[in-house]
Amino acid sequence: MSPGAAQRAMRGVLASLLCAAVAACGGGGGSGGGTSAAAAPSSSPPLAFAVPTAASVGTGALPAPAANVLAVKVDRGVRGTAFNSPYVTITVCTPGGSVCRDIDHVLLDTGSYGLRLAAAALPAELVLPPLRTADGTPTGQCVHFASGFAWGSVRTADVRLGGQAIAALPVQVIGDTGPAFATPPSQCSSVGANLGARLDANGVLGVGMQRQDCGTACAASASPSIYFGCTEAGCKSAVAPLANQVVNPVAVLPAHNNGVAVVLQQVPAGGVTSLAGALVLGIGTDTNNQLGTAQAFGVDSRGLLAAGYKGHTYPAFLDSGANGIYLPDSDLPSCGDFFCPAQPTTLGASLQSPNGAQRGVDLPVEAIASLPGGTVAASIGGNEAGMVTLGLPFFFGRTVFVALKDAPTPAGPGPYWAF
Amino acid sequence: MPRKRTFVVGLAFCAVSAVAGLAGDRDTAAGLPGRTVQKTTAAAVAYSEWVRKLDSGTTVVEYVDTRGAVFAVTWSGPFLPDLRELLGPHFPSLALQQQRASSLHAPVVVRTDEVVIVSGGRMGAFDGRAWLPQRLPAGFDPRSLP
Repeated sequence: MSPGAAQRAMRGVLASLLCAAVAACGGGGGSGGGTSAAAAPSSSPPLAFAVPTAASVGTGALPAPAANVLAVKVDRGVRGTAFNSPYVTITVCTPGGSVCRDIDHVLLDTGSYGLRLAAAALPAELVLPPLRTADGTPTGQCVHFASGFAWGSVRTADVRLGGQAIAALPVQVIGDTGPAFATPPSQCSSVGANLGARLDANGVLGVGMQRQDCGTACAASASPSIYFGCTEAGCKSAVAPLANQVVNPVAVLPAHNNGVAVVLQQVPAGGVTSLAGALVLGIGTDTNNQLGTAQAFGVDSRGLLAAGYKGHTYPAFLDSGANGIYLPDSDLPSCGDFFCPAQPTTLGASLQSPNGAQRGVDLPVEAIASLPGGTVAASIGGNEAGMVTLGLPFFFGRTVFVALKDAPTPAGPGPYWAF
Repeated sequence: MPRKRTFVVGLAFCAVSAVAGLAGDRDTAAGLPGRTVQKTTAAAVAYSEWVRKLDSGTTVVEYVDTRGAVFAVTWSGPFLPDLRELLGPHFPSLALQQQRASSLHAPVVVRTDEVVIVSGGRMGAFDGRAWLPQRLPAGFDPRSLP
């Protein structure tokens, strides 16, 4: 297919990822020169990767194995549709620990808080008891993401992250098949599409700056409609005390509980077919998580930084759960929702913290259509009005620290990013 | 939800001609919760912004032309608002595009001749905007939407 016809958005990319995965697209199209600005009909063929070439792998040293280190792997996910998606493996046990199972492909996400597990990824013997609301009904939960809502139950599990154990952690079970959770309540389905069936992961490990996934808003009122009390007759919005909310596991670790460092190898232009990294628990709590020369960027009340880009200032966020560099730029050619510059290019932005820290950052961007088959990670991006989302490509070749809100660290209390 | 009930009663009292939300008609926001701000475009065409802060803490704004038609909406806050209501007949376009999303937090963008929807953010901080390109008042620049 010609890059000029290469249109469309996520749909196209997803289809192309699938397509590339089964090596059916062939045809060495995708020279990456697509500059068409015209909208193509929705029936236009999806983007395709170029013909596979010699494998390229990420480069750079990673932390040695340790009790506070989880290996990170970037691959195609469990459905083969993922791209620029970092995964870890965690251990989930029944409360008390009599049955434990490793759950792989848990998405490492700095843009959410708390552990979510896909019901389909939990073996039948891993029976997790429901957490109950004040009136004794099992707790349901609707969590909002840009890509849709995740609906399911809240249950209790013992969890191990690396060598660190957490007892009785409230977790969300997405797509819980229990009769009380069969149908998402209308307050949930009115925010978008159901993410449960298409999440390309066995779970999401939210290690961002907040301690709970909702916080005081849901402890004070049922009105956010994030937590529910559910019976087979239906679900009603419910208040959830902080202790009963899905909690950021990092915040309740026995040690190394003030934040994390996300380490990823470098990715050259052209992308890589294999990429490794590490999730290091704690900030300045061991020899392997020292801040060193990293500069701290405190965030505003919404958890945001500011980013200067092409003469304007936008809210900004560092987000390992977003797969590209998304920023307001309608001058760059786009193929669907992704930029497709004729050649790899480097954008420049200036990150600013409300506490005064400031740094210019280089943001390489290349066309997804020009990437070789088998690529799992590359510096891609897209146009997003009014916001700068520094997704996974920002983490390439970096160590990014995420300091938990109100947690003491050598650089002062969180919340902050440091890199 | 008590808020919703108030809202419906308000609509009835004001005899608004159709459902609210994008592409809906809102003859007047008078008497409804929130506040209305009168504005003019660069071409001196009048329109109004009806601003509501929801119980969840999220703020939504509906942009209404002089005929009472909603031509744009925005939202910003810790939780997504009821987008089915806010986007009206264009909600399915958003939901469809979400099903094609390539990652958890990638912004979702719908861009057709009829409607543009941009929805982004993550847990605790969501932002979005949507507008009807063919129904903007003269001189209204959608890039000015917050």
